Amino acid sequence: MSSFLQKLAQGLASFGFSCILLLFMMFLVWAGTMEQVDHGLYEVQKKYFDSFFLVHRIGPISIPLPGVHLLLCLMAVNLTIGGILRLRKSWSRAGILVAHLGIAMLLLSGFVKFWFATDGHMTLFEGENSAEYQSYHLWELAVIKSSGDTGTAVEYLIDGNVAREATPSDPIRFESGQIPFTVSVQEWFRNSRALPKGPMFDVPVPVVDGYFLQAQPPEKEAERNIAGCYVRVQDRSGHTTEGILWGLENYPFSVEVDGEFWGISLRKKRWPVPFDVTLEDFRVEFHPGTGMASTYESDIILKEGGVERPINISMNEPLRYRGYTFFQASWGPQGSRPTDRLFSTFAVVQNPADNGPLYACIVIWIGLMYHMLWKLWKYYKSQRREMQS
Amino acid sequence: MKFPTLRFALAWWVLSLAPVHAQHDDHEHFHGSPDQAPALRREAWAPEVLKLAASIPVQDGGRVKPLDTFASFAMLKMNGKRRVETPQGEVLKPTAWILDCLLFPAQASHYPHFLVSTWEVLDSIQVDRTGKEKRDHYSYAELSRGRDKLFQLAGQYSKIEEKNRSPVENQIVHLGHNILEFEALIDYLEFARRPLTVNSSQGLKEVFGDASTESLSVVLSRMPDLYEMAKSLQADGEAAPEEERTALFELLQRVQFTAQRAKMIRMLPPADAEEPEWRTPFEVAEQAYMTGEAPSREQLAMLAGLEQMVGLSASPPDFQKALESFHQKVRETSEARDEYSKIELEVLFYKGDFIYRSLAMFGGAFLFVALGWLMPRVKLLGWAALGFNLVAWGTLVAGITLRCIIRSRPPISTLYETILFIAAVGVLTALIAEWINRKKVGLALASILGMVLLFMANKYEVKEGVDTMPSLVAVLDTNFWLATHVTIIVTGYAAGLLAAVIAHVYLLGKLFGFRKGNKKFYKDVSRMVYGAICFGLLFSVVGTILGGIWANDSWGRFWGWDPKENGALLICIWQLIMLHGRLGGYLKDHGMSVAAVFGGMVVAFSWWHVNLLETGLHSYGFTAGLKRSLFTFYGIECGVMLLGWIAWARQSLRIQVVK
Repeated sequence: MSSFLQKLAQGLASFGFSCILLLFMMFLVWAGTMEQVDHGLYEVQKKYFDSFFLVHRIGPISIPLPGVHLLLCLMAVNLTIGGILRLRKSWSRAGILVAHLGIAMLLLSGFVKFWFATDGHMTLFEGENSAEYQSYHLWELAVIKSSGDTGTAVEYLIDGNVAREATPSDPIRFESGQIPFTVSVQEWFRNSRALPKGPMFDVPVPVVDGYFLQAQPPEKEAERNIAGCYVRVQDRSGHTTEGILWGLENYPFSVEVDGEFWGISLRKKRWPVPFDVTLEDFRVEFHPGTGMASTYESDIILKEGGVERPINISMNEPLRYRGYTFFQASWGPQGSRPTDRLFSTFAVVQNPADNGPLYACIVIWIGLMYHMLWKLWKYYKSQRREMQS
Repeated sequence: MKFPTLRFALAWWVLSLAPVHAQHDDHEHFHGSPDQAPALRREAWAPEVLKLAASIPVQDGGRVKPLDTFASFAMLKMNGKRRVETPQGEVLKPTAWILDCLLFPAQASHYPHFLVSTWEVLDSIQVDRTGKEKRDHYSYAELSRGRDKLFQLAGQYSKIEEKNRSPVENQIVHLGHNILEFEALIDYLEFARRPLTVNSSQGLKEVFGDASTESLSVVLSRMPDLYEMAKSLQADGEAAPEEERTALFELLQRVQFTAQRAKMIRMLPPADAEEPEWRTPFEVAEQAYMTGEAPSREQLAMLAGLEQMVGLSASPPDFQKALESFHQKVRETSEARDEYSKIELEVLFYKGDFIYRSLAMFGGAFLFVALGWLMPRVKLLGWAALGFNLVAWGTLVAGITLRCIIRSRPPISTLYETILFIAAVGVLTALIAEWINRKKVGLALASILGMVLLFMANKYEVKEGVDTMPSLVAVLDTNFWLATHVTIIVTGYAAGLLAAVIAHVYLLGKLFGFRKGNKKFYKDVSRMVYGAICFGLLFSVVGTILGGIWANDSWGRFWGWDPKENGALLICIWQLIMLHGRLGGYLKDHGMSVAAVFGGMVVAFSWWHVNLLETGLHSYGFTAGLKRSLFTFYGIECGVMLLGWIAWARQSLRIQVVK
């Protein structure tokens, strides 16, 4: 058994295994890059880079392949065993060891980001404020209670990633002690349009209040997909109400249960931040005589616990605060005139490993630099010796 | 620009009350009938005139640059080179050419400065091509016969996405653009050639006195009087004399009409430093027309300067004085705005032709290297090759340094500059390798790399035909990241390419029996390949990670699987495969060389190919029209790999037979 484990460790640590993993990695990165032209980044990322396995098609041939995620896991094993633990420790290999440690840090940062980071955007018009940011691609169903005194309050959130698995033959039911009814997602559409049903045609999906959802092919830019779904609400007495939720709908689908009004809306997933952000002013400057922006920046007020702090966020100068990073990402509306009211979009990221790559980069640089100079010095000395002899 | 509503309304009122017959003939412009332009240049431009004109500052593409640079790229775009030979045999460089276009349009219309690459274009627009080569130059006068057809086809083809157009369709669209630009250029000073009639009514006589015609600048200076006149006519209502209204309307419309062709070059800096945009004569006239106010004293003086130059163009000494006066006015204003300090340096940069000179010297170095192969005992040839390489490298570095100073930027901020930088780093590394091992390989490679890359830079500049020092998009407005990430990653490209070039020596040398039996030589070449790969890996890995850190600061994510990022990652992965393969014993010297040639293809993919995909966030680096060149390169390199494999197979077979 120990012999088997030894052989396994040898195999996992070998240069051959490194080469195989790197070759697969190279092919996947290349194929994923080329496929972005037709399918956009989001789809390609899901298929090649965030997956454990995938099927790559070359014409009529389907080739099963490991995904980049699996490759990175195996690389971490190969690197740890072969490049760190079993590496012969000597001054001549110190650089390699340090560089491998740096790569390991980089991989670790990547894993932390993948599993624990959230990212989205906060878009504000001048004068507006917010304490939450929303996803570019992810959706959620928000069940909201409407009350005359306190306005509205979100009572229950349904994760779109779970709800998207619903099919007419296998709907998904959600219930919670916070709400006096159940919500069943009957069918989910990744990209859809809500259309009125006319008398001159039939549709293969349910029609609710004269409207139906028409499936659309996924957009190349995934953030332009508009999700939609059919829901069924059932109260404790067994009374059911059918409804359509659509991502671009301005008003929630409302139901009355036990004399109270509830709303359900399909919206981009949101995350709260523990402070409030107000956009005071947004400025954009153009290169003279052109439509090309030379710089754009936002003045915000960060309010927390009654304390207000003015902050400037500009391109390449983000705000890092309490584990959140706010980047000046874009602005609009497109084609606006100088007097128009502008909005500013901040990319917001919460990534526990935010500075990991920077530290890893420094470590790798030190390791490789040491190794290269060491090698160069040895080569130089050998050449001098040779010339002298 | 503010447009007081009342005044705008007044101008509108004047227009609305005017009789219809006062409309001008919109076809009355120069390019409709080239023979209308009177003057012809009788003698060559004096060097002093060219020197002065070259350094006239203009604002174009978001930055202030010399007129010479503007002319240079306008010419390059139309002509494919920076010189044109007139029918009289005179060779004109950019400044002389643009002076002729502006001041002697009838003459310039006969210069063969439109490059047409195929006869099909001429056949499509029904222009006679008798006596012309397939790829030849044509004058405006020759092409103007097919002008209408050209614009019709260009309009039709421009609706097709560029990548879906056929080569002929693309050329027709580009030729259409070039013709339009040329027309804008020759019409630019048309306002100065056509004085305005100002005595057609009593009211106008009161404003302008006895003069029957006045220049645009004088009319604009009297705009407040014209405004008062319009107000008074408005107050009189229907009682206002018809001929007064018509005369005023005609003059105002003539102002607009005559100035509207002067849109191409922003030559008039505002005195107010807070105003970022320079003005064209059209904009100056438009603002005066819309506000009823006279332009600023400085702008009127500059406008009058342009008119004076046109008026005196037939008399060289007087013209020179007028040019000096205009140059001084523009210079003073732009100096006050702190926009003139780099102008003369930029003129020097283009006059110095550093890149072309460097290319020529690398060619000379290669010549000596080649002679050294034929006469290995003549040591002087080696020294000459080294000397030429060093001077060529110094010239290239001087050119890059001047560009940095002119732009106040690190060495690389555009694709064009990556070529120059890679050439500089590649040559330097090859020369260092030569200094260490003295095998003459580094010397030869330095000259080959320098020649090939600078030739490529020239070709790319001609193909794009746009300013190679453009304004940068907001995300690139950071000298820190340009100096670190961009410089480091491009150094990684240079090392990868150098490894590939050295590997060619190994593979082709083995194939053709160069220094046959000299194992030591091939061992040394192989070590050089290995060294270049190690050097490349250091810079590629660090550069790639720094790019991620920059992306994390500007776009909010370290890694987004964007094509440009993936390209850089591919280089790192391939270099890691080579090094791990070598350590594991899977790749020996020969295999490393074949792999290094493939590595060159990976670098080309990352450097150029991903920019053709036109997807991802690195949109500022997108380019087009290089697919054929890239695939030719891939094809050649695959051929070299195949030849390398044949050399290896032959050697292996020989060893087996011997055994």
